[in-house]
Amino acid sequence: MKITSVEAIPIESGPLLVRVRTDEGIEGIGEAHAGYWKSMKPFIEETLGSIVIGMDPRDTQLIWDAMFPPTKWIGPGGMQMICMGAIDVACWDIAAKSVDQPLYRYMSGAARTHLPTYWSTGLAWRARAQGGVEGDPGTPEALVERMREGREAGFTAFKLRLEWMNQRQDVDPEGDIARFKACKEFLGDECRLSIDINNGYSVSTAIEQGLKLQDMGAAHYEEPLPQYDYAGLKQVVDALDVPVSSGELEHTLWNFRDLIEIGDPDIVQPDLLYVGGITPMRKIFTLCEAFNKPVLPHGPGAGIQNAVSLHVYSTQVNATLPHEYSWEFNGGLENATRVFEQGIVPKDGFVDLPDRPGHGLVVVDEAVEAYRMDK
Amino acid sequence: MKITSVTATPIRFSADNVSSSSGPLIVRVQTDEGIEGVGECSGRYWQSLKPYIEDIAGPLIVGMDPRDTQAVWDAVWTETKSLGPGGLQSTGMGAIDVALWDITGKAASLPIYKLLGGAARTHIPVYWSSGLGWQKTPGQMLDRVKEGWDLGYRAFKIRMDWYNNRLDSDPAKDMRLFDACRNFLPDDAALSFDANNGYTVSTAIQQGRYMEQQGLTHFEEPLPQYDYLGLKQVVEALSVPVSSGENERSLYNFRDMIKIGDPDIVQPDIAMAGGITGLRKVFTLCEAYNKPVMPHCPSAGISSAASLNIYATYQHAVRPHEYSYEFSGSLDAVMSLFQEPIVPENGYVDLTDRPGHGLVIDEDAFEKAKAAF
Repeated sequence: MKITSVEAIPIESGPLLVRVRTDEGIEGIGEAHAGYWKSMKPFIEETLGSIVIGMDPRDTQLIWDAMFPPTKWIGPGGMQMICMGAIDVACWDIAAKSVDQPLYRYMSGAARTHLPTYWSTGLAWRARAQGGVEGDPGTPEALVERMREGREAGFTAFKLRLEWMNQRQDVDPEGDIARFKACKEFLGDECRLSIDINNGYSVSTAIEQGLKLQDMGAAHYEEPLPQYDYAGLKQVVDALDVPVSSGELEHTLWNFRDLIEIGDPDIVQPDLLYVGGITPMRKIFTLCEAFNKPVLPHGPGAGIQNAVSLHVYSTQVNATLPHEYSWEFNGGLENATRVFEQGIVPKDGFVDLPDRPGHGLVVVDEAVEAYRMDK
Repeated sequence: MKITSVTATPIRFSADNVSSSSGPLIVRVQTDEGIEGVGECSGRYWQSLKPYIEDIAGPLIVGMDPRDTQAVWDAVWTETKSLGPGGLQSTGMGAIDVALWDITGKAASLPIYKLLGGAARTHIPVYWSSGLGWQKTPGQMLDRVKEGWDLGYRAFKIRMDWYNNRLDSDPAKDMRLFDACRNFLPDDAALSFDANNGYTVSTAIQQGRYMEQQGLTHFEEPLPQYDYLGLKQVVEALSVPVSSGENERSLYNFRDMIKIGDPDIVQPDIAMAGGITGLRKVFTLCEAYNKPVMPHCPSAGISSAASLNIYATYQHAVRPHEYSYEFSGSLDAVMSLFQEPIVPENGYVDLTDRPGHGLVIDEDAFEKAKAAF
């Protein structure tokens, strides 16, 4: 089997869909972020496409190795990994379809196919920028409303993302406690609630806040510091009892090695696209296994990235924590599923992986044509 | 003063007779006061870099004061973080940043090195850097070194360009290349060796041991760039200075490389490290750790001029700076793009006291190079 074409199609309020076609008529689908499609489309189609066309899509490791060195100057972070990841996912989709198996089985089988997910919500900054929410979307009351949406959708595990990012450190720590408290009171003790600072604290603030948050019952404490401050992370981890997590912004196997060796987080959170697809994601899971670190993939989406991340997650015997889920970045569930024949959607907080071949998301050509942004 | 437009144009030098080379991507930033700044990055991925610079970074900075180089850098870095760090993001930002420093210099009628606190020297030694050793015979590499010798260079580096996907492919042949060049050059001519990530730890130590006995000036990137722990082993085993850094992309990467890998010489690349703004911070970090810097810059043109402008300002930056035009075409072709060139003579570059980095686009030549692309 040979790859015959690679196409990247930006979808309105959706992903940058990557369609990889073969001489045997089997198509694989991956996705990258549509936000930067103008740079990513030519990189995927022209630069990476010219490398992989003619290769056997089932040779996923060979393909990854062929893409990585010649495009090293455009990476390793962000652009290179996300685009390689999209192609890698499409190739795995083809490989599983070619033997008529769901992706999880092609990867040696699922420990479970009924997977708990948590409702991940934040986006105060985006709502503010778009003027899409009345008033201040970062108030405790507004955030409780976002929790309510998830609770009504049947979720019992939640994460509040503050999205400070590392350019707004220590802006409103007291307010963050009030935000968490309001959400925790609304959800009650029967629901898990985690908190994600998104790189927004310095070390001492992170420790002070963490001590309060663990007393209030935080399930895990995510990215308290700028992602590159491994030594600081170690201080925070050592000072707190609550599990401290990090990893969504690491982009290679060796970054994860340094994160674990130096920062020693309690939970490791690779992002399927940021690490470059299924091929490296599995290696990172193995690294975590060697270090006895639980993994909790980063994947606040509702499309291919999320579904594929769940497929990989399902194969890890110790991966029992709820996996991230959100349709905020897709502009709602309707948007997240409208280009697929059948979506993969949680029910009562659980996703049941389908036994359809590949990852199970097949695009509808008419919908792709209707919503593509590069017409 | 306000930025009014940002354009990125791939060019090719029409007079170029080096068939394998490609031209740079030229970044031009315009202002409401009519002052233009020019930056450049590799044209290798222009299809992705052009939209990044024009459509993604451009709208973030149009309207900002170009002299607020740090504020502009911070705005683009945080807003495009998911495209980086590294490669595309820092390269595109680096090209823009150089253009902004060029504007700042022109606005003040000062060369960039003056804005940076003044040059410790403006007569700067450069070394002749020659690559693709993995594909070359000893005789072919020697011919390249002889070419540099005839042009007056007295410091040299031969690059193997193996990369980390061809580890330990042919170490014995590498030493034949090294021997051929070492035997040709007199003992007082510096010869350095760049494995370009091509060895494992024990091979690197064996190769380094052999070369330091023959006379090696520095041993560059013996290992895959991410193997900081292995680098430390090589550094400790050898007496010759071991260098690394051209593939590091942020201040934090350099911190980890220095803390863990402890190289003897640090080699940031102006484009990869995010322009003058990024590079200066890396230089300061190196100062704090007492590490000599020796910038990576195998090009002639704007990046080289900008890198030399910063290098000139460091008191301890006494080693020769890299120089090559293998990736851009002949030196005459590269310099034909500018109203007045900056070229090395007898192995030295004299920095100009023209404002900015000193390279101003000649519009006729630019149109020709654009059309040739």
